[in-house]
Amino acid sequence: MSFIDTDLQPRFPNREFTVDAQGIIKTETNTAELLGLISRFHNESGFELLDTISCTDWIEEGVLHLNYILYSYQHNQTLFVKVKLPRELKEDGTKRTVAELPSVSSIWPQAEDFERELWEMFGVNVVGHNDLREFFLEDWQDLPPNRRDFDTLKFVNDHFEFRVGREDAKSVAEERKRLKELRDMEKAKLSGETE
Amino acid sequence: MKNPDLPLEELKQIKGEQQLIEWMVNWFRKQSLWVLAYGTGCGAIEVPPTMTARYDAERFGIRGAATPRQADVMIISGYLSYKTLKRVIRTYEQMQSPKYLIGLGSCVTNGGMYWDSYNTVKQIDLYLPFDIYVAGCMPRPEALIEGFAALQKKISEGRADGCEKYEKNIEYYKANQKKIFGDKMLPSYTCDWYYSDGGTA
Repeated sequence: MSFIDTDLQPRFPNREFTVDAQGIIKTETNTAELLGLISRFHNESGFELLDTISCTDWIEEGVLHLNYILYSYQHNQTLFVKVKLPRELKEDGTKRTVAELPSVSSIWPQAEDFERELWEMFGVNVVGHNDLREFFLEDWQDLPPNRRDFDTLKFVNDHFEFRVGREDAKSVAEERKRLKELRDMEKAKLSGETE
Repeated sequence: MKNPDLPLEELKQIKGEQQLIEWMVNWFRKQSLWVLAYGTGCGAIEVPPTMTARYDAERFGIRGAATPRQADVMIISGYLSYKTLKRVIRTYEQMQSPKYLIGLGSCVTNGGMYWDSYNTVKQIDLYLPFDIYVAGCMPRPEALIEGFAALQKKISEGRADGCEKYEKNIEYYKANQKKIFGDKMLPSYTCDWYYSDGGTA
């Protein structure tokens, strides 16, 4: 009997759980059910720890794929709670998503930091958060930089200057070889003179 | 260097003694390089082995200093984000002259593998004057010590004039800094000799 059959499935009869090759349990939900479901996992099934909230930008499918990674010390089990969030941004220029993500900081206070990062790097519109401000960046005006429609190279070319290379643009390997040959020749010449 | 004490100024009238005094001052300076305990990127890992038993940089008079006011040398060790650059400039301006800057690793030289990153500095000598660059990714402690040796040589020849360059071209450096920081410029009290308000803000 696996952990799913003994513990999870009796408590969540209508929910579908899968296990991957590494033994990680996965389940999918939506933003409306997220908070209730996660607090039930926390209170009833013994998932005490929120490891992190990961996010992947699937621009082709138009979703931000969020994984709430929970861990249970009692059962030594890892659980991924998957949420797919539409990635469209609001029209009003705030550069945050139309879809709202409820904050889980009422359950785990450390989630505040993860959510700040989601808000800053992916533009996830987190609601119910106490302290929503920039985490790594400073005075960022552009699109959230971890979104895939943010063009890094264009941003760099627009804002920053590159160091100009050497004008002759010599290959380093060839130049080193040439210099080594020169040195060897001089050495041979010197030793020839001393003999 | 730029603002020597008055007796030195008098002694400079005599050409032979001037050279002797300068040589002596530079000799003292190069024998005690105190490095600010500050690390920016992955190169911060290379500095502790340089200072401790195995490579023992203290035999060259190189040792750590706790605060910028006591330090002579600052090592920019690895990639530098624009957020950190603000802090670095602020720290550099608080250091007492003469001060030297060493760039460690290829990221400091030209952006390195972060050449297309949205938040790292590509050409750092637009914002700060450098005396020595150490190439490599990452340079080993031997390379860093060689960089120090090159800096000592430069000092003894009187060519390590990064801070003089910074003072002389302050308009250029401040204009470049303003270009990326915008209205979120550094507080002026670390550079009060430049700002006309005497560094109140």
